[in-house]
Amino acid sequence: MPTSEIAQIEMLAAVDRLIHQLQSWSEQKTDWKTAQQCQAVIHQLLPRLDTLRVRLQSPLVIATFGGTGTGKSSLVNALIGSYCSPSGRQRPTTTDPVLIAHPDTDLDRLGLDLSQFQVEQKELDQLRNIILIDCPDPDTSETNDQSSNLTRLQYIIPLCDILLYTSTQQKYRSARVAEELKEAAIGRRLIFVQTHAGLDEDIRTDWKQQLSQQFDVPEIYFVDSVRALEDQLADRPLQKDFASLQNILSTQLGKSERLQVRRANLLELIQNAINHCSDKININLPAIRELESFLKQQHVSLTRQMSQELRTELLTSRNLWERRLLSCVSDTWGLSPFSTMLRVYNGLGNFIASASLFRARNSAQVALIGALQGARWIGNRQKEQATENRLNRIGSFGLDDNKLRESQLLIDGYAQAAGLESQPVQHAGSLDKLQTEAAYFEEQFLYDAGSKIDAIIAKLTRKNSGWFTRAVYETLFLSLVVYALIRIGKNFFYDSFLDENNILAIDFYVTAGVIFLIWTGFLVMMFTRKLKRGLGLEINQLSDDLANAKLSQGLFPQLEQTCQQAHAMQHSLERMGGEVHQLRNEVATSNILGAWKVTDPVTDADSKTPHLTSQ
Amino acid sequence: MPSILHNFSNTIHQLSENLLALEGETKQLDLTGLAGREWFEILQRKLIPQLSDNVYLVVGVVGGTNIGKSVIFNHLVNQQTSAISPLASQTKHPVCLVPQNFEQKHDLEKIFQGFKLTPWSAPEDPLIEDEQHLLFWKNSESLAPNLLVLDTPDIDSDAEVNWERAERIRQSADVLVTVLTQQKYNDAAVKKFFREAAREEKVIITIFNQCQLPDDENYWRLWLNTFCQETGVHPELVFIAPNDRQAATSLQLPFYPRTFEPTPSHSIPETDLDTADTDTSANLMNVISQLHFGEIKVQTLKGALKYLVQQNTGVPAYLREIKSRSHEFRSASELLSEQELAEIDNWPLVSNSVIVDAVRNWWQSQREGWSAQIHGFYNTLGRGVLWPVRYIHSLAAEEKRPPMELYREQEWSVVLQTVEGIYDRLTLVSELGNELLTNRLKTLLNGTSREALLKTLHEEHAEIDFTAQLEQLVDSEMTFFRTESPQYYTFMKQLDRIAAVARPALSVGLFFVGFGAVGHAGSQLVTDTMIQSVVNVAGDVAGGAATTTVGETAVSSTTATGVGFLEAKFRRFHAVFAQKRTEWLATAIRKHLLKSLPEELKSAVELPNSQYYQAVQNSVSELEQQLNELHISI
Repeated sequence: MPTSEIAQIEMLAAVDRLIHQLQSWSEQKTDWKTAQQCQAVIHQLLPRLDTLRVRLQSPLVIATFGGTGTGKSSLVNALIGSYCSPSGRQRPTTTDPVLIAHPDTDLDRLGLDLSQFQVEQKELDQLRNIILIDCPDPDTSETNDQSSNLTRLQYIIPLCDILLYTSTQQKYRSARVAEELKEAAIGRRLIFVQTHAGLDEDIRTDWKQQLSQQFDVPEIYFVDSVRALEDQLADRPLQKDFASLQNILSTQLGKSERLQVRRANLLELIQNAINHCSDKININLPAIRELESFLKQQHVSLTRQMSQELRTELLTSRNLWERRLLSCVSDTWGLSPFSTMLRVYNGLGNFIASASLFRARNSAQVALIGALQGARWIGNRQKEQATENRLNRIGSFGLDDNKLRESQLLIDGYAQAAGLESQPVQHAGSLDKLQTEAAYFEEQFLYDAGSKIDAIIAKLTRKNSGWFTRAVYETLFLSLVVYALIRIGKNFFYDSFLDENNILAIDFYVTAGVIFLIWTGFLVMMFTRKLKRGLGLEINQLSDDLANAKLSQGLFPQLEQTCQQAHAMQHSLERMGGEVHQLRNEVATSNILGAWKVTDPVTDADSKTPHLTSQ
Repeated sequence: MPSILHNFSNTIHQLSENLLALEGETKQLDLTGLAGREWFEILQRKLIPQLSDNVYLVVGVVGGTNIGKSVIFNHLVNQQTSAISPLASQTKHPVCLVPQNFEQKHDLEKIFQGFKLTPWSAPEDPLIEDEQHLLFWKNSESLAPNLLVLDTPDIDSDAEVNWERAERIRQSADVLVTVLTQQKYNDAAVKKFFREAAREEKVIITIFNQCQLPDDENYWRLWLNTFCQETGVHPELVFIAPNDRQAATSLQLPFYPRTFEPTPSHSIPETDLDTADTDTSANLMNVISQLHFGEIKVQTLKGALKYLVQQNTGVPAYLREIKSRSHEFRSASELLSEQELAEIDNWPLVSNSVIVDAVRNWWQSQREGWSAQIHGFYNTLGRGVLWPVRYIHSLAAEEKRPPMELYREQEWSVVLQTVEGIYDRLTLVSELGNELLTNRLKTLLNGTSREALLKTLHEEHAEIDFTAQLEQLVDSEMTFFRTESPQYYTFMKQLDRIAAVARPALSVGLFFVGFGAVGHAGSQLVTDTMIQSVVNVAGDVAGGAATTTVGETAVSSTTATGVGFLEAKFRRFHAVFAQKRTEWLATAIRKHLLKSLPEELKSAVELPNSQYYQAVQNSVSELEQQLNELHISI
């Protein structure tokens, strides 16, 4: 296959892919009203693209366009070399558009409603590649009613591939025609013609300057249609400008150019729609950003508040800390006299705690009890007493109803301003829903906190219970035990047998027991105090960490998602815009045809909207 | 003679003043201003300067771009005053030729209001690009006295500022020299311009330019007839000019006078054979100089006056517009006031013990002398002895915070609920599709203004001293009670029993009334016209309050029913306190959320009854009457 053909196919594939992307873009479900409006625009566009693709190969449709009396019909007659479309002096002359085609041309394939036209079939060579339509004018109608020329024209324009824009010295700066052209030119190639060459002066330089503000203007032809027709009828040589215009239409717009023109038109339509949507989205995006930053702010302030609350709770829950630390130490130390002692103490404490746990006053204590245990506890609790207790818990933890209500109020305002559909946020029972969300939010937070606390405990244990500490405490503990045993042993084995002293009275054991209790109590106390060294610092550190931690979702996950989607949609639209722009540059048609000026909205939008700020 | 029109001058001046005053009032209606309305421009540019002045005629050459207006103007004044160019839209400012000494007798600034008058220096003057509306003027000896001739910018090019300048000249002109060509006679922009001219009863002289003679001799009547049918123009005089560039540039263009009578049908008007077409060119200047200035002046001034008082286009249309807009505001404000903006089912109540304490304190302060001391002693003793009991009691009741703080929090919660409800209501109202309200409410409803409102409310709420308010309330209620009621001492004795009485459930409704249906019905309830918020405390309080006032004697007979009475009295404390608090809320919401919206709506609704509106209406009817009289006298 020749490379040019491969390039063609590649291009076709690229265009198809682009249209496919547009389609899926327009079918996404979104709550953002702006995006919905844009999707509607794209939806309107897609069927038109389809018809364009279907007739990619059929002859080009060329229509005249210009103010009344600028000689549109005369030009058409001159181009085909015979009187075909009635030209005249009463304005407006042409009210029914005239369609002129070669008899071999299959008109049905064009998707035109032929009843709207006066159809003429001419056996002319120059009509093999094109279909000519002589259109009514856009500038005599003052209203847009059904029968006006303007309405008729606006029906025909979308079906054309090329506009033959005629004007005269009197009309080239007419506001009305310029306005209509602005609409009509998008998705079409343009050929500019100044008519009435026999009567008027040449104003092409000034006209070109005017046109260049909006259009690419390769050349303007200056023709005298009446003379050209007479010349043809009398077999005289044609004037230069007219001859080259005729040449372009009949020869140069052959099959190769045809594809180029159609594809350029297609891309232009897409580009125009995308630009329109991008503009719209970019205008409304700041409101989304505002909403987002507010959501973020809410998230931060809630997390901060919760971590603050957690800190105070943790700092006051001394008993729980001690128990956790002690059990951790006794677990690591394994079996030894002192650790057995610790275990006994701890077990006693746990026995009391297990009773009190189910009356746990707040979530911080749950977190402290341990991530695993706590999670199990939360799970059970949820099943048993769903909302009520949860609310109490939230209440005790800073996320009270008033806070939630305030958040909701403000979020509603921001969401409304951003143009999000109200259904996800609003109305009955929304506070309940919010409370549920808040509970999840809190659970997430606590789970996070729980695992961090585990780490702290492990760290404190490691730091404060090295072999030296262990040796010291074991020794101190054992020294009393050993001393007591020695004392008892001596009394029993030596004194009572050899010295015949009395065996120790029960009083001794009571005193020894009391001293033992005091001693062990003292040791455990000293030990836990040692263990807790640096605890305050750790807790502060923890709460700071938690305040800055990013939880996977906030109180309004649905809204957050919508915002993210809005950004995603904007990005993909921008990307498609860039793609279509690039494609359009690649398809750039030969320089004989004028067109709507390529603007570069993509880079423009990029520089204006630093969308990374939201992350 | 126009002297008869001088009578109008006073009325016109009055009308103009009243209109300007009315315009100031209509700002809140979101109406477009007076400037730019055709009738107002005519009032300003034509009637005011010309009614009181001596007769002079303003003749303007007008038409589409690049059809030879400047060429015709030059021919008219017989000198190259306006530069001509093959390019379109070149003449950007009007040029005026003024007879000798005219500017000494008349104020040109006044005649051409809104233009910056600049002495003419070269034909290229009107071509310069300038954002200001310039008008170049030049003395001419050959001009008939009291004749002003103007060249104007185009009316259809892409430079829209040109249209505006041409329109201003049209508004003050008496005679329009209308330049048409076969390409432009049927253009929408051209037709629109001359339709206005016809309605203002200007004298029209048509010049059909760039005709291809002799071919077009058969067509121009057809064209002109279409033009006349479409615009309603009836030209006084018609000339045709050939398409001859050479002649045009050298001031040699001939103007052939033709007779023309528009016909209603689409057929070509028949040529009047009696006055056969001649090929002798007419001198345009002579033609214009021979016009009957006085009659024309009367005609155009009368036309302008008629235009001014016309139902569809003039001042009445403007007044109607105000009225209908004001009506829209009425429905908007009705929409707002029909909605009870907030409904609160459970207004929080201060705990009974707090009220009891407040009453006790008040009682304490009422006593004098030894009695107070003794009671003070026993009270202190009692407090000391009872402290542990109270402490345990408070632990059990789990009210560890001071009760007023608890109340504050509860009230804040209710405030939030209320604000939420109000926002919901307003959202609903804004979605009902009244455009006026929607726009106003949109800014109220967005996140930033909500944030601001909550912040202000929160701050104000935090600053309120509830205890002081309660004390004040107790003081006024009890003082009243003491002077009025024999139950006074019983009440004091039974205070402790009362503390255990169940608290009433209060429900409160807030309206923000501009006026309208609800406003009238509830007008007795409006406590303060400035606030215009209605607080409606309802529920079983109502029953209680009734007992307080009605059942006085019935209750006093037995002590058993006395308890019921005291209960009612106690409930009244709750109700009055709640009333005070809701009043605060209503005022705060009015002040910070709705702001001046209700007042604005109200004054907008009442605009058609305002003094200026009436004055304008009177002036118009006076003008109408004068016009009718004039008609009869002529």
